[in-house]
Order: sequence, then structure tokens, then C-alpha cells
Amino acid sequence: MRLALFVFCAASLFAQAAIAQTPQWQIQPSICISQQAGESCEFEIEIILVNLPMGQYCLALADLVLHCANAAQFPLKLKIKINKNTELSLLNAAQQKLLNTTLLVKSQQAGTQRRRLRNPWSLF
Amino acid sequence: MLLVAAMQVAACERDQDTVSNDRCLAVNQWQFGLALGLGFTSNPLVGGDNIPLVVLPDIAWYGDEFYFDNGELGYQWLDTKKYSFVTFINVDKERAYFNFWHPANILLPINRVSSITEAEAPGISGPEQLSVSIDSVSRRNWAIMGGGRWYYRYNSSEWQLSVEKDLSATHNGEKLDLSYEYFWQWPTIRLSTQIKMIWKSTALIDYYYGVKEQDRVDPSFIYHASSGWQPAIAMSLQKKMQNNWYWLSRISIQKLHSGMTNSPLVEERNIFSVFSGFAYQF
Repeated sequence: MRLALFVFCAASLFAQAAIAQTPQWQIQPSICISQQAGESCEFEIEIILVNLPMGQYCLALADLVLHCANAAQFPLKLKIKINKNTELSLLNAAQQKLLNTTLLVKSQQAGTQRRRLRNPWSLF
Repeated sequence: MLLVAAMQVAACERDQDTVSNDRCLAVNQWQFGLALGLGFTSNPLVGGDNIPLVVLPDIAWYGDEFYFDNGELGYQWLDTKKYSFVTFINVDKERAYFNFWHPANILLPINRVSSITEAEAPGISGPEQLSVSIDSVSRRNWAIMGGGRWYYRYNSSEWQLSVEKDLSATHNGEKLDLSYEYFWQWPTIRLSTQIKMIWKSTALIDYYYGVKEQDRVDPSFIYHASSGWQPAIAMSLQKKMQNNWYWLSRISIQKLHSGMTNSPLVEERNIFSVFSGFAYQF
């Protein structure tokens, strides 16, 4: 019984330590407000890295690399322009995706979008 | 009507993170796109040139219920996440295979071409005539089709069933189109496969592909074309690039039915179409 309790406590402590060391990031704000639905939306975000070792990291928007910087240069401010919900990713020097967050676009005038009934370029 | 509009909005906005997002557009705003690339649609007719695909426009406008989308003018009666129903008019593309890029269309005024085809050019040389081509038959006209279309969507697939009739009294024919599309969506890539079954009535097929007395050809070429089913399959790939740039690729094949291919005007049993290029959405 004591052994089981010991194992449980040790496992809990180990898990907490692991969580504490998990790379994380904070992005503020993560929502951009556009005038009308479908319009491009430009805003400045601040990226804070937590528990990331020193090294070179790149930020990719919808899999396109936007900016690269050393860990020491974070927190970092970046201007971004999107017209729909788009994924922002953090890549390491080997271009592997470490973290990702979806940046949201919300419109002030809700309800002004319609589903298109034909595929784009359906003339051919 | 307000309820319908609200449902339309809900259907589109619920899909913000899914494949439908690319197909959502702002109400009462024109959307223009232009694609530049290389491709063609084959022409199954004797003497017909392939239709080049080099510059392709994409023009759409959607109001609360009315819409215009790449040549189709319609009214949307119902749109929920799963179901839609529209009525529409559009131009029958069948006419495009006749003299589309034929030099006579570019170098001579239309009335001159018309007077040649109807009075001088016809192969009235009797038994010596060896074949019939689009140059030797009378002019075929464009038709305006009108009809209704139902949509049913389920996960990553969409069914469409449309019924159309010639409203312009050009051939008084009908067309039925049943299609199934399945798509795969990644963050920047959309791949779709579409399978179609198109039925065209005798009146439609005979008007364009039949050979009649008024075509003034050798009587041995007279042919009454008949209705039939034309299966088709298409694959398209769309990759989103930086800003509003896309890379588009599409390939399709449509099998023609024997009631059409037995016509002396038709020399191919299939219609191929291929295009690849870059596109910009304004």
C-alpha cells in the first residue's frame, strides 16, 4: 500500500515536472475583428515563448514561413494580415512544427456571408 | 425569407474552419478571379478545333437570394447546412464546340460566315462528298437553359441533381445532371473528385449533332441523333499560396453516348479537358 502510494506520488510529481517543461506559447490577441465578413484583417500579435531552449525558431502562417528569430528575441511583435481563420505555427531549426494556434477572424457585421453554389473557375 | 437568409448565414459561418470556408463569400460584393495557365478542352466534332484554356475568369456575385456565378443567374430558395435548392438560367455550352476558335469566326463577320455556311459552302456536291464537318452544316445557335438544382451535403461530399430545359426555343431539349463530389481538405490544399451522369434529350442532341436536310449535305449523311447518358469524371487540385494566389489543376473526361457519336459530325467518343495554372482572387 505504501509502495503504491509512493509510486503514485512519484508519478504525479514527474508528470507535473514534465508539464512544467513542456514548450508552450502565448499569442495575444489571437482574434482579429474585420469590418465585413471575408475582408482582410490586419493586426499585431505578441508572441511569448515558454519553456523553449535557446535556438532559432520560425513562425509560419498557413505553412508559409513569415519570420525567423532567436529564442532570445522573444517576446516578439508581428503584424499579420489574414482574411479567414488561419493556423500560426512555430517551427524549429529543422523546420519541424513544435506548436500551433489558430488565429481567428470575426466580422463586426455578422451574417454577411453565403455559401457559393458553384466551384470557383467552374466555367471550364 | 428572413428565416432562409438566417439559415444561409448559419450554414456558412458554422463551416468557418472546414472546407466550405473557401466557398463562402461576402453578400452583395462582386468577386473576381483570373487564372493564367495552359490547357484545352477537346472538340469531338469533325473539323472542330480544341478549345484553348489559357485565361480563365472567375466572376461571382451573391445577394441575399439572387446570385450570379460564372455565367449562371439564379435564385436560392433554400440553404441549410445539408440542403439547398436553386432555380437558375444559364447558357448551354453545347454550342461552344461549333466554330469556337475557327479562323472564319475571327477573320470574317458573323453574318458573312452565316451566309457562306447556308448558301455556298454546304457540300452539295452530291455523291462526291466524303465527309461532313462543322464547316459544311448550317449554323447552330446558343440556347438558354433554365431549371432547378438540389444539393445534399454530407461530411466531405456533395450530391447535386439538376433538371434543365431550353427556355429559348432553340432546340426545346432537356438535360438532367446527377453529380457526386468528394473532397479532401488540408490547410492549404483542396483536392476533389467528381463523378457525373448527364442525360441529354433527343431534341437537344439532334439539334446540335443530327444532320438534317437543311444542312444541305449529301442525303446519305442525314442522321437523327438520339438521347443518352454521358458519364464524366473530374479531378481538381487547388493550392493556396501567398496572399490571394492559388495554383489550380483540373482534369476531366466525359464519355459521349452512341446516339451522338454515331453522327457523321462526331469523330471522338470522349471529351477531355485539362488545365493547370496560377490564379489570383481579387
